[in-house]
Amino acid sequence: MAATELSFYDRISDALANPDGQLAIAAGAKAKYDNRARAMSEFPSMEMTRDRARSIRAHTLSQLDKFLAEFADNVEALGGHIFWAKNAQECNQYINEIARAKDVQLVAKAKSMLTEEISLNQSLETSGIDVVETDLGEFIVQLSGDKPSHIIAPILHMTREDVGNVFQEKLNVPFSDDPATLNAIARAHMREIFLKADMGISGVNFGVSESGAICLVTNEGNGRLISTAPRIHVAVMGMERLVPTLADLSIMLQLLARSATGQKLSVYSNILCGPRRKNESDGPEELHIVILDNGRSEILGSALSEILYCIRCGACLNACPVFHSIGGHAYGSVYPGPVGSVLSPLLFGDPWNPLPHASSLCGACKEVCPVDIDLPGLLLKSRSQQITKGKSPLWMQLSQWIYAITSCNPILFGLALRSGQVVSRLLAYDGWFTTLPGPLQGWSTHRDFPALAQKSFRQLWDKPSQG
Amino acid sequence: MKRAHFLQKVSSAIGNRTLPDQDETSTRQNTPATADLQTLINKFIEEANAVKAETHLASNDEVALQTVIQLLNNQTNNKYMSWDDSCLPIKNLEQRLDSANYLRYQSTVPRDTMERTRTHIKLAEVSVGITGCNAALADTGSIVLESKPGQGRLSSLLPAIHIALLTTDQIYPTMESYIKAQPEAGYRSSNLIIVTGPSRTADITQTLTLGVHGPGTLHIIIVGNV
Repeated sequence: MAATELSFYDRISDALANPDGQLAIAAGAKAKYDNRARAMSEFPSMEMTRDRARSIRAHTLSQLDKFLAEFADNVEALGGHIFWAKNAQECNQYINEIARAKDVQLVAKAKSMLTEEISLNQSLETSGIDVVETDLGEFIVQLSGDKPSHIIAPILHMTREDVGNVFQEKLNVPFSDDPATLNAIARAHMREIFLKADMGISGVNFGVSESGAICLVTNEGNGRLISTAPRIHVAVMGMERLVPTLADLSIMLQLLARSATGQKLSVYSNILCGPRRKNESDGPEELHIVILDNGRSEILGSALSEILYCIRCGACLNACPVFHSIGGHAYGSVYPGPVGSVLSPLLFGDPWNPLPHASSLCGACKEVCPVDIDLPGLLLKSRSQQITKGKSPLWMQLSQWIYAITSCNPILFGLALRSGQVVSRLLAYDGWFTTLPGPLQGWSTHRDFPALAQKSFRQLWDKPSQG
Repeated sequence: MKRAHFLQKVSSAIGNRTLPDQDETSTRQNTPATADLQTLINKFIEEANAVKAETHLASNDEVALQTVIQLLNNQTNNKYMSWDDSCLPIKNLEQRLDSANYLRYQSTVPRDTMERTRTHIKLAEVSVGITGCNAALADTGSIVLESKPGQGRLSSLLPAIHIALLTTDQIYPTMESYIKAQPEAGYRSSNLIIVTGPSRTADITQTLTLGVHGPGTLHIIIVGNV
């Protein structure tokens, strides 16, 4: 993924300057947050199930090599093809090669953040292949040349008027801002694409190693259509997305649905076991599963490996007060929110280093995570890694160095305190600084900074009678 | 990339780190296993209705057939697609519907590329799909369909209306109990689909709308003595 031209802070300023988008995001995320809370409160033995899900993820990752081998063997025994891709380029090249060899003109795609991560659409389009996103939200994103702003709800940032305008302009239909009408327009438009597409491409929510099955979860049914109608189905799977057994899958499916949208189960839990079989009346003739590393093995071997437990439900985005304010686009990554703040620097590198700092560490993300990932802990680890690797900004390194020296030396510390008191007396108004100088200015734009007390704790301690 | 090389990278990443292993004792116990049939059916109906599936009770084949005809009657055209008769709980459905002037479209998709597309386009004219079920899950109101021979996926997917025929003995309390009873369901056909209500989306401003790509109407006819 390429870094955008704007810095993280510029993107945040842009997001904060767009009140309509901000309202849409906050309201949408809040609705999802409430739905999840309701669904979880109705869930018998929720905490126990969460513990179980967490231990399934831990167990899978602790023997991932074994489970991957078992999964691949089973897929091949069913007549499916496995391709092991080290990175985005290998994955995209493989899919391009199949498309060329099989004379594929039209690809129907289900929503997959992984294919966004590797820019698969652009790669296929460069080869002259038509790629159509079939998830309603992703379709609107594609029509408007936008980017998804949420891993579950791609157009969380758009109002219904926005969608009406996109349809009117791009599909040449009369303007409407009624979701049911817009939905009907999309259904009619998309029908032909499903029926004519040569290849369907999807991600994978879960692979089941004991059977070689893959599971696609959708509410709309596009995941079923693209894995049934086209003659070739290609599924791209992040290598960490396995569960050992079907019983494990059933636990994950229930947690995923409740966490993502507050449903007890998503409408379609679609379990696919190899291509169409002899005597079956429909289904794809060919199934290709690409198992993608793209930096994940490095994460697995790092102190942040817990982030690979993630099942991409989006609950941490919906719970995050920072996400509510700045929305998904400001993160500049396909993975926004708390999970994205940990993942993005690991997957995409240094330009995403500011992301883990955009958190108050309030812990709402950990509380809602269906596999109990310690997100605040990982954000802190990510920050500390940046500092130990010397990747924090120069001003921060410098100020921390000065602080370290000052606070280790009683004389310097006392001096610093006294000069702070002098500055407070001269510049603070009624006990508060309303504006801070230089680089600290941003902090005081929306709030005041308390002035230092005229007598410090140390001074009071030395002369208690004068307190 | 070669498989061995890929897996080698994964193994060395795991290295000697000991990650917490699975605790087999904490399996979930949900709906009591002793639930009687009536409770199970009531729970199924309650949950299916909650996800906007429409349920109909039919004490025998004849009542079920009449329900199907009634539902077909409301349609603009007389075309339907379905699972093969031998896979449905109602006997001779095709013949009975044929005599009531309903036309069954052949839904076996040819393997040839051109023929395949042509069949798809023809099937798109159909407004109703009729299927049986392989199981149902009471605690989520879901029906479970397998793509065995004669049980095409498209009948429950392409038409705007899906009519599913479920027999009372097919209802399990939970997904866990179903998987425990029929573990081979997970791999004996190329597709196992768990359907929980009609197709839906809330992508546009979180407003719920039905029938975006899959059927927007799901009728479940529960056949058997209740």
